[in-house]
Amino acid sequence: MDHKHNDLAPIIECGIQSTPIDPIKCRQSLPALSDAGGYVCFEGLVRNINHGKSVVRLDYEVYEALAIKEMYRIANQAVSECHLRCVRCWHRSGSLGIGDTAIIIQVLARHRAEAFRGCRLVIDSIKTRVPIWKKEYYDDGTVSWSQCHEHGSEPAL
Amino acid sequence: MQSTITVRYFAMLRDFSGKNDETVSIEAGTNAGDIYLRLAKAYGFPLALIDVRVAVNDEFTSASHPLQDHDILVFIPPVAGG
Repeated sequence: MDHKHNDLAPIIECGIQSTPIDPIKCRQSLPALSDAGGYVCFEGLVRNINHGKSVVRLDYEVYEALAIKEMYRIANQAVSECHLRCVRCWHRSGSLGIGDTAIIIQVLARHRAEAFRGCRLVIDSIKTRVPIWKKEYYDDGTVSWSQCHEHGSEPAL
Repeated sequence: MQSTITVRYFAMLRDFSGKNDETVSIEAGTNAGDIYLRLAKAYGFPLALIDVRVAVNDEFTSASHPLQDHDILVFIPPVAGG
């Protein structure tokens, strides 16, 4: 176990990537923090149904300069509100198929409660604040920009 | 001298305008909201000003933000990441 990150500032890494997210590699590259006993990872996957329509693929479009700034602000907010030791988050851009990983968020904290709460704060904030848009292609040949109406109905922890 | 700004379009606003970006002339005192209303009328944007967020020079701001020569203006329709 690598102890070198002990007592250092929290580790925050955020980014947009146009290539597939590999969750195994993300896990393998997770920093070893000997004071972090809670690790929570959230992956958002492309679902085949949205608003009752059958989705075949989608494109994520990103206003990258502002998206990355806002992701860092969200990560910093989660670190300070939930006492996290590490937040890493990558969001996809470009074309994705059903089942692909659209976003991965990794959170390390001293205890699990902080890690769960911090991870939830990061994903919920990204969904409402970061300038990323989703163009959905349906099996009937139609296309639309998703507006994520379901935010308000996502159950709280 | 006439001032100009660049408007960059994303997502549905790019589809409606048919452009990635364009140069727009401004008079002194023009704010971001004024530009949105002008463009919304020209291109038939389906969103009201209240439904978009405003960014100038890659930072969030308000629709009342006064624009300056060479500013880069982006209107942000409802987001759907995650």
